Amino acid sequence: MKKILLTFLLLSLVTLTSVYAQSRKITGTVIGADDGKPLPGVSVKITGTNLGVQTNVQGAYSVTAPAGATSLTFSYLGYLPQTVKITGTTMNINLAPDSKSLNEVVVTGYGVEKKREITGAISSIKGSDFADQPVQTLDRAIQGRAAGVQVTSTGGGQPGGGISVQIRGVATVNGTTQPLYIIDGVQMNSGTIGGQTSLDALSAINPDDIESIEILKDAASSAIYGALAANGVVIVTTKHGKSGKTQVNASVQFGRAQPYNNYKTITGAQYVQLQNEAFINVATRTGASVATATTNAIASYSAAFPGGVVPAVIPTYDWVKAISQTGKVSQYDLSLSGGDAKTQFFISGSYNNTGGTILNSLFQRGTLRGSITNAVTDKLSVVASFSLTGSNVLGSTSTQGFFTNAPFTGAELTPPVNAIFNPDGTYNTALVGRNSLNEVQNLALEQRTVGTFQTVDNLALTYKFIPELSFKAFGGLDFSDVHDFNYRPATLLVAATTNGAGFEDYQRNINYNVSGTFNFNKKLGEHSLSAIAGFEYRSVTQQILAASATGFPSPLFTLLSNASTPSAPSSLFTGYKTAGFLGNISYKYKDKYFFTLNGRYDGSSRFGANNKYGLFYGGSAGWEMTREDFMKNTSFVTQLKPRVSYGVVGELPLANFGALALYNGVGNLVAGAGQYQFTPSSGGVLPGGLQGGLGLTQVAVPNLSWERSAQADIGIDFGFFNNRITGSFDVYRKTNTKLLLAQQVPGDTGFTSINQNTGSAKSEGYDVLINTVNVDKGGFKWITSFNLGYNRTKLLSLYNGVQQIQTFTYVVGQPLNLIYGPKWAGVNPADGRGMYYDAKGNITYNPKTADQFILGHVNPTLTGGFSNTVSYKGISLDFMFQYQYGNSSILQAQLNSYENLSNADNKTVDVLTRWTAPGQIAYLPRAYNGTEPLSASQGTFSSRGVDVASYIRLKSATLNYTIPSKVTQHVGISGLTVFVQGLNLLTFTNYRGDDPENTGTNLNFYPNERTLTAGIKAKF
Amino acid sequence: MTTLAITLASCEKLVTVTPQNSLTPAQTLVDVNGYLGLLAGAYAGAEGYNYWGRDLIIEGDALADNIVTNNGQAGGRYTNANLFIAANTFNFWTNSYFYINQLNTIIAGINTLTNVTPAQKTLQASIYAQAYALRALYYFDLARVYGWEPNNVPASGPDAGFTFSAVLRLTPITTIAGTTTKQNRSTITQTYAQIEADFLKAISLFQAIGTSKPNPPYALSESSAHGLLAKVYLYAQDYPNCVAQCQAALNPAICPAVLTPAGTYSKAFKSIPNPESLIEFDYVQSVQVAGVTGSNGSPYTYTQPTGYGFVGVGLPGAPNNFSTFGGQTVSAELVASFDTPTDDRKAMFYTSRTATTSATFTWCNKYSGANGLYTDNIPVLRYADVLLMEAEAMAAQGQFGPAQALVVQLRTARNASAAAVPADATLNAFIQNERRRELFFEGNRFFDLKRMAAGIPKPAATGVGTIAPTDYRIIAPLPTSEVLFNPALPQNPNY
Repeated sequence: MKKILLTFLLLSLVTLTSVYAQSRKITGTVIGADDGKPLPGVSVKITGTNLGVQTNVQGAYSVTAPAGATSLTFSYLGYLPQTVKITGTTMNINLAPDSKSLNEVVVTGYGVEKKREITGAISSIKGSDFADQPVQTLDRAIQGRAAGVQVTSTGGGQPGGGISVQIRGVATVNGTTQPLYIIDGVQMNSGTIGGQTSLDALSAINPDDIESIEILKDAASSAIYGALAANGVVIVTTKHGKSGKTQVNASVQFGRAQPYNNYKTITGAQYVQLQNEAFINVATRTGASVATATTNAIASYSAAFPGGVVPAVIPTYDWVKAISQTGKVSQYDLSLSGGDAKTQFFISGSYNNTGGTILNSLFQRGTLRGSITNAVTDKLSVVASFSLTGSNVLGSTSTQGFFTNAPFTGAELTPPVNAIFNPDGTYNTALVGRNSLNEVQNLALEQRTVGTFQTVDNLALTYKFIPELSFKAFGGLDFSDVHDFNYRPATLLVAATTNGAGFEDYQRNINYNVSGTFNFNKKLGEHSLSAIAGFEYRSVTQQILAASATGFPSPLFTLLSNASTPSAPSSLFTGYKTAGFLGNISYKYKDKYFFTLNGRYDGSSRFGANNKYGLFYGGSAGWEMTREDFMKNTSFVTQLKPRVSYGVVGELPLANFGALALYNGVGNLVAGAGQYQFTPSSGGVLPGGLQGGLGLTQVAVPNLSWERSAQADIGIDFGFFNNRITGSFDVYRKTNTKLLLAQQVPGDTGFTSINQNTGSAKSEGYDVLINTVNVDKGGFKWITSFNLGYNRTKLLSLYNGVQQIQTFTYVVGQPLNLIYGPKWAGVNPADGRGMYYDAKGNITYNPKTADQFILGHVNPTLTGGFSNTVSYKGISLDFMFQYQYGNSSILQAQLNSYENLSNADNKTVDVLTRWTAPGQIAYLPRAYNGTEPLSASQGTFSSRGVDVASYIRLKSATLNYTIPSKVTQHVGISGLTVFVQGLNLLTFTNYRGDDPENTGTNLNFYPNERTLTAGIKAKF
Repeated sequence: MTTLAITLASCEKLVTVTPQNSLTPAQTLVDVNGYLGLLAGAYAGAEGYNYWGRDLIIEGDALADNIVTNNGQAGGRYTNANLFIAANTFNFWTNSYFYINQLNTIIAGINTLTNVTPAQKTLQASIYAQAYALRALYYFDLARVYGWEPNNVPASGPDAGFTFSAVLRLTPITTIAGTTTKQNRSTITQTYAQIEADFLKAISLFQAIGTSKPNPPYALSESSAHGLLAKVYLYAQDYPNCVAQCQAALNPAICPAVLTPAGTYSKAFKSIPNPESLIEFDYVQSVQVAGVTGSNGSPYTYTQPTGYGFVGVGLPGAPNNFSTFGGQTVSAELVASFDTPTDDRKAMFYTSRTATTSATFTWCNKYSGANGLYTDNIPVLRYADVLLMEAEAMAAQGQFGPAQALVVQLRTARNASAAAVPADATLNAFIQNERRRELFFEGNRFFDLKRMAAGIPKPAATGVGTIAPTDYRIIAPLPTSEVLFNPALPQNPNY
């Protein structure tokens, strides 16, 4: 209050001063240097004061300057502010556009809008923000850079592996949570492709070819994508040519990737001690002979030692280290861009070779991309883009879980007393405490590859009937051929019995969309109107051919035809279609009131017969307050635009044929291959041989439709102090109804669930983005971009009074994705057994179904990123932190094995805190080989296996040095920059698993890597 | 108006994709072959590892006193079941009803076909008969796993007077409306009556087709329907009917099986099919057990030492290349139950270390990969089983003489002493021990102990002691999701 009073006094003083001083009247007109037209609403201020006026509709102004005034400052949104010395009483000003901010347009679906006129909630990321970073895919590149957008890897550290992107939390149970990706108008297939290892379908695009990424977060903006838009839309615009001298950009970088934060496992001696305890504790408990137990304990591991004799000094073999490697990273990029007034082109090529941190894992990709823009006539223009991508990925199995052939499981669980190699250098396959799969050998000899050939192309023809009206015909293709290959030679024990085993499949994905849209633009005085109307059709199909074989005459023969016994041939088809009418109307008045309406009447083959089409719509409005008279005295405010939006969009049912009654092959030995062997005389009358088994696997659901997602958003865009501080703040609530639920039906009907639209959930929160120029003085500049998304979710209803589904993963009134299980009560100090709480809060050793509680949920409350650029002359440092807070994650690996003292697996050093003697207050129960009678097994899931997975991670840091052009010009290079950079450099977390960046459980998967690279980029 | 209608219709068509890997009902149930597919599916379902393919036969012994699950070797498989820890027993409730629904579809629909050629009439009748018999088998297994027997409901303890058994679904469910109706469990009496009616119906249908002997016995037939019905009567303690059905099953005119002669017990389990099988499920290695399916889940992988295998009677196991999760070892009590050292059946056991430990265990070689890598056929009902059922039913009625003769007939064929077989009331207990010696690792032991209501003794090595005959854990829990959804089913007590 005091401050306000003081300010008021000061202001009054200034006013008084000006009244009593001698003053001049200055008049003039302000016109835009870009089009020569008068600019209305320009703020004209006496420099250094708050005195000022605004130009009128004709761009004219009249201001009274006090005696001491020396200059006037003209500022207008989208133009560079100008300070002009007072030289006379008439001052006509040409205001130059701030090309950066004026040209900043945002792609909003089928058109573009100026950034300052946007009325929806849209995050924009520039390609330059992540250019030259050693990330292989665009979805990984946006990690930490957009408020309310949570990006998590699903393929772990496998280079090029799968990514999960969640925009503004999740309000669905069974529906997809991933956004729609659009690259230059092509609606992409996303997710992972290939079965042998994790490979992101979006790896078809080199992130360096990207000009910008827009993320449509609110339903009003995304409504033009109708039934595909419920999780937001990510619109990617690739680079196109610019007219002028041909520019050549080249960059090359090399580096290495290393695993970090591997589990610390126990030594051989500690392992032996643990096993002895485990056997002896059994004998003590069951009243058996301790001597026999000791003998059996020794027998359980003695085979690992030479001659079966336990040596005095027990060796330790580090299996985790043995399967790790330093991945070599190299990346080469080259692009050319140029053209004349009529034709512009852009061509780029790249090669990326990223070694994984596990033996025999690698991502190799070559890309070629080109685009050409041509004005055929004054009325007809054409834009064509094409890309070719070939990739080859080597990797271990990406499926999370305790599969013995997944190295990050097998190696970590192999007891440390086992030598990796025999004395003669061959692989040791007589492993104690594990089945006889030598993980190092498996990685070295098994061949697992995914090869892809992908192309993303589009062609757009635009015909301008009159300046106001044009028609655009568009066709886009996203095509991929994927080849999975797996070969296990007979030299591997698992394939020895079959003399080698091979598997191959070919997948062809054809995904295309075609559209025709009319585009109308008209400006009438202070009114401008633009409209889009069109139709779009999309078809997505996938075909897979696969076969296996065994019996290879030599390990050098690897193709199926060389094998003696072919098996499991399969041929699969699946696909879906969508089609819809779309429309958009944008209206603005006086460049300060903005209104937008979007709509789409959309149909899909996934909908039931009674619900083939649905209407999706949204509207938004914005108000640029700085254009108002009452704001003319607040020169420090350069933008203030409140916005409001509401929209209804949809989400397709997950299964392509989920609405149809279907008979499928059944019989649960080998998935999808139900057969039964009759013989010619079985029962005397049955036909001979194998008969395919059939069963009715689902009933028809004629009413199946989209999940309906309604979202309201209130936000504000702001800029202060000549845009030294800019940003936005949005509050949203997303309510999904008609949830696509697998509604449970009695299992005794022959079905377990029916796909239905029922139930509702909501996700709400706020997104903050603040960009600041902290220092900009004497060549030193420090800018930061901070974003934060707060989110909470709630399940509102299910069906038929059902209060929970999926064993309490979803409970009405609770957040989505709950973790549910027994509560750990610690270790009984008297006997070392694990204790749990029962439903009444009493201690139990064997919790029952009823003794379970909600232990947490996996949705982070806060997510975000914080990036900085500090530059001085030619040196700049970029670094970005990424964080999330408030989510729990299951320590599955610890529960099942690393801290499970009932089996022969290797353990982490945490087991050194186990109970060993009465009276101890221990963290872990006593070792016991097997399950203690009347106790739950040690691997029983409980709250002991749930940890908060909040973290802050220094995700990337880059140090650039640009050699002064004075130096480089002599050799014909207009810009030369050298750089070093790192990814995943530091992590701050209390999470006990290996990596808090996971999707809710640390079920063993490929560890994330730390990458360091150095490179050079040149501009000619 | 017409234009609009055409536009709407073409809009519908624009967004239509026809599946190619699945069939719609209109495409499937058009002829006998469609129904044959449903029957093949129901057999394939019964072959699943969580049902006849493994759990019913191996876990049925692990829950009793024939198996000691060695924790260090088993890879977690059955370690809890062997300790009789609640909720870790059989789990094929939901899966069974899926296949029962297909069998109900056959029973309700196959006789409505109008396009059956004269040549297909017998096939049609056979599918119809088998559907009844297979449905009865599914319901019998549900009844004995999830409920008590008609005369064996505990009088005390948590299960006192608990008479709920299977949910009897007898008509096909093919629409949403059908799936929404809840139905509660029937009583034990109702369930057994339905099983009996289904087998009797199947038998009369088989008889109507004519006398035939399935060879190999990979499908249900009149003989196996009699034999399985005999087991139902035995469980229900309806001894006269049991005897009659056993005798009908072994009628040489229809019975595909014989009692193999002395010295051939092991060989029979190596033969495809086992010559003693009245009904046997066949597994085709290259199709059904390909890939990791067998090495992860087959009876072989559960019961053979990893990296070692049987080489000969009296010899230790020798290294081989087969990785297994073998932890289901033969209990000392089972080995000790043999009274005659020369008994052929004892030769099924061998001792061996494994690739991962130098400690040795006793292993059972019944599942030896006789039909391919990791692949063995599953005898569902063997001649010897029927003989012993007949003997037991006779002895229970005091007919010790004829009962003794049957046991002697079996033991003679096994090179076991005939003199040891009593002819008085002690024969009842002797027959139970004989069943154990004959049918170990075939999933009978637990159910025999259960129906005899004498408690479940556990091997000393498990440290568990004897499970009281009224213990709630003897009947398996229904899936939690089912009882949460419909508490009125109801769940078995104490779960």
